[in-house]
Amino acid sequence: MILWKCWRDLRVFVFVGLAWLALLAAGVLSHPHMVEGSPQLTSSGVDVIAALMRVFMDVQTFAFAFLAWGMGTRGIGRDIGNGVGSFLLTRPARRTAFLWIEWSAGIAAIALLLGVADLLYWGAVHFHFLRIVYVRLGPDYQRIWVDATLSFRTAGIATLCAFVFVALIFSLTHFGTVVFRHSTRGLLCCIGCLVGYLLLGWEIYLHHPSWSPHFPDVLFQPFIDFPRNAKLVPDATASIVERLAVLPLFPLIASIFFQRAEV
Amino acid sequence: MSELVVETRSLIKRYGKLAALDGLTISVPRGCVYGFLGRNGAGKTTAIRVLAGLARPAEGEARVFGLDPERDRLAILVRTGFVIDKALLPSMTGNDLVRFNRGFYPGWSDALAKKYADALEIPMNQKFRKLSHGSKTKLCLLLALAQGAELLILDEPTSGLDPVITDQLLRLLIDDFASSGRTIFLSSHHLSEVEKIADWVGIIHHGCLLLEAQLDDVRANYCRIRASGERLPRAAPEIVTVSETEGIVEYVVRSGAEAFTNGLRRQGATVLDCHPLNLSEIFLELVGKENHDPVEVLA
Repeated sequence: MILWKCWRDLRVFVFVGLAWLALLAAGVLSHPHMVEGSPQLTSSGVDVIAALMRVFMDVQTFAFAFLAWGMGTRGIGRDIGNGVGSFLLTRPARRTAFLWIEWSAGIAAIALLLGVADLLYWGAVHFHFLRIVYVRLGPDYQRIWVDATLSFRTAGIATLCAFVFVALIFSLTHFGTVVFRHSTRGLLCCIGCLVGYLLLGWEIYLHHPSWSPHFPDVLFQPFIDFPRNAKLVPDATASIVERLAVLPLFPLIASIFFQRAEV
Repeated sequence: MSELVVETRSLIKRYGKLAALDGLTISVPRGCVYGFLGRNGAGKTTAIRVLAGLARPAEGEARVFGLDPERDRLAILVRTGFVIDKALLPSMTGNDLVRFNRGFYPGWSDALAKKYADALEIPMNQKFRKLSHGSKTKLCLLLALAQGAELLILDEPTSGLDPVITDQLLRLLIDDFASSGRTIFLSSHHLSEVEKIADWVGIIHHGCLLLEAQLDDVRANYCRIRASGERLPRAAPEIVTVSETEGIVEYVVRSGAEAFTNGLRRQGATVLDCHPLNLSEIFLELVGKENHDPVEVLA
């Protein structure tokens, strides 16, 4: 029941996300380099493909961040703000069940949209490009041109990092909406936290460099040269795991607060 | 009728400096229709929120089916139908809400839901936010009735409804729910409606219970007595109010009207008339007073 309600709350964002993906994919895939392949299949031609892929990944990360922002405002926090709390919270279900199920549903929706779309799109370009290279230059160039530019490992790690960023936006907004029981306040909470975090980081970096605290980037870039010859930055795995571990802290803290809140 | 379904003891709930509940003690026997009466802001909704586990008392204790609403919330909610704010998920239709609600309750009956939807003429395919006020209330009640609850706790179920819908809902509550021995606890300040269906009443004012009794006992015991004479008494345990106009003293007594009038006569007074009060008159006498006597339990 709660999951079904979550689906109803989130489905508009899922459909908007799918429409956006279709539009973006159509735009990128219709680029002449994608349709015909690079005219000379030189290194610069491959750079164009790589740049397109990078643009695709970056643009869609931020587009999904906006979607996640909207998704985070749906759910029990907004419902309570709208006066539906006494109905929902007199159903025989744990209060935290509402919170955790809707957070999990949001995270799953983001993972599904972002992950599946990224990998499918990446795979489509990979095999399309592979076919062109294979036909024009033969199999020897496969490793040099395609695998180095459009590796699935690179795509997987980049998608995971994008997911962590988008999921952070969702979790923070959801947290704010539950705590403040208001959609707009949830949105503002998310912006306020992100801006505050960035300003604090800059303040310390500029004026107190000797403190040198560890301020992880909100949008973690795991590669030095993405996507061509993508090389992982030092401690990339630890950084990703660290960020993934932070995500459930938001619903956890919200549930401690929510469990005792009066409605 | 001895087992208590709802019970509170010295319940105190404060919002800042305001004491919404100020030592509320009520006892609701199983199988009764209990009218919880009070003016706006008397503490009725706060008491219901405490029973639903939506608010925590500062002091005192509440029990529903002998269970603590805070600790045993789920066990209470599965057996109790609450209608508090009459606000449901606005984007869902009646059918969606039935679908959403169904999974929470093992005793849910789709047949009952359909029966009430037809009987009350609720447009089940319309979104909740587009329903009229009356249909919204009816839908809230439908969800509470179809869940197979043993106890219904309703906060002002008929407020803002026209007399036809009010009558329809009250009849439904009595004919379909209370007649099978289940308990209804409803708050209201519409005394005539409560008088129609309740067999127990509790009157609350400023968070305190002023009266709790079976309605028949209340009607039989509360009387207005008019008398004239010299040096008539102004205070006695049974006197609720006393006033004098043009030499005629008017008493409202909570019990022992016959003994009281005999006493007046023995003092040489002329008793002009003595007649029992209806619930509205009793309510006004109790709630209209500035200083209240301790709670009166006639049971």
